[in-house]
Amino acid sequence: MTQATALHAAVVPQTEVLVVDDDQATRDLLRTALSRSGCRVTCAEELEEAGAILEYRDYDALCVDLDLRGLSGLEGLDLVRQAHIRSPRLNIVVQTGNGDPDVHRACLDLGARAVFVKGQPLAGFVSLMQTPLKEVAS
Amino acid sequence: MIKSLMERVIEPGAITALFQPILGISDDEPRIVAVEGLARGPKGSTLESPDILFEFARRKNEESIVDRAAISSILREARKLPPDLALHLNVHASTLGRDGRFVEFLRKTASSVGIDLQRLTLEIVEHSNFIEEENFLAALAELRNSGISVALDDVGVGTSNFRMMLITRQTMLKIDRYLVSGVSRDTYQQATMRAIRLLADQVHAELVAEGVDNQEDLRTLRTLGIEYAQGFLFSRPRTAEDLTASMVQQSLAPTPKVSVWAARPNLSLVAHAG
Repeated sequence: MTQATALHAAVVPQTEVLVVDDDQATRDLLRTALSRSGCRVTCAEELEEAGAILEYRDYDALCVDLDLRGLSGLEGLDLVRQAHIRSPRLNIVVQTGNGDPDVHRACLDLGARAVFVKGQPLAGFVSLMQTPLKEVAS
Repeated sequence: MIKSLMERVIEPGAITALFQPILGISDDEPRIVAVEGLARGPKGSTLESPDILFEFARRKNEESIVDRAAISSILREARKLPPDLALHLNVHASTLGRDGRFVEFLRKTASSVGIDLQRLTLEIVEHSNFIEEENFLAALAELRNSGISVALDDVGVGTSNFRMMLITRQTMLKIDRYLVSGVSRDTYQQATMRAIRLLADQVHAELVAEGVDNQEDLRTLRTLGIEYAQGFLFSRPRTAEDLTASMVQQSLAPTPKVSVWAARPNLSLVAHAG
C-alpha cells in the first residue's frame, strides 16, 4: 500500500467487498485490484459460502461470477436475488462471460447494479465496486 | 484433483475445538458445572466463524457431515479437560432426523477417546422445519438409552421452538443470547424470561442463559430464578489446555466448593465470575 493509499484508508471508510468466484487466479486478481484501490476484500469460492457469509456479515458491495463450474447460472442469479432482498442498498455487480442481453437483463431485474463482461478493463470494474449506489446517476 | 471447500472443511484437523464453561449461578459464587464444546472452521478461512461454518453446512444440506467432523474434533480435544467434567455438544435436529447412524457414531467416537457417555449432553440446534420426526424421536430415545443427556438450544429464537419443546420434552432449555443480553435493562426481556421460567417449572426443566456478559444481567437472571449461565462475563471460549489450566489453578483456592450440577455429582472445580 502506498503512503497516499494508506492515508486515504485511514480517513475514508473502506468499501467492504465480497467477491464470489470459483477460480483462485481470478479471486487473487480481483482481490489485488480492489485492495489497491482501498477496498477491504473477502473472497468466497462457492455460492453457499457466500450466502452463509452474507447471512452474518454486512458488505457494501458484492461481486458474483455467474459462470461457476458445474452450475447453470441460475444459482448465481438466486444469490443476487437473495442478497438484494436482504440488503437493497448492496452494490451488486455480476461478472459473466455470457454476452446474452437477456441474461444481463435478468441480472439487473433481480437487483444487480451492473453486469461486467469478462475481458473488459478492470479499472471500470473496480470503479463500479467502489461507487455507492446513491452516487449512481439515474 | 482440487478438493472442494466441503472436503477441506471435514479433513481431520481442519475444524478446531474451543470450550466455554457453563456455571451454576444460584449461589453468590458461580461454579463451573459443565463446558460446551464449540467448533471453529479452518483457520484463516471465511468458515472459521462457527455461524458461517454451520450456515454453509445447512446451505449445502450437509449438516450431518459437518456435525460429525465438529464432534470428532471436540471429543479429541476434550481428553485434555478435567476428567468427569460434563461436556455439551451441538447437533442439528436435521442430523438426528436424517443420519440414522449418528448416535452409533457418537458412541464409538466417545469410546475411542475414552469419554464416558454419561458426561455428554447433546444440545439440539434447529434451523429448519425438519420433517423426519419419527427418525428424530428414535434418535432421541437411542441417545437417552445410551446415557447421553439432551438439551434444547437457542430457546426463544429459531424456527419452531415451542413445537420442538413439545416433540422433544427436554429437561434442559438453553435460552438464546438474544433474550439474555441486556435483560437487566429491558422489561420486555424480563417478562419473556419469566414466561420461559414458568414454562420450565411446569415441565420440570432447568434453564441455562447464554450470552451473559455483564454483572447486571447476571443479577437479573438470578432474580428471575435462572439456574445456569454461560458467557463472556465468565469466560470466552478457550482451548482445552487453557481452560483446564485455569480450572486447576482455581481448584487450589483455599475453600473449593462442590458443583451443584444435578447429574454430575463428582465435579469439584470452582470458577469465579469476572
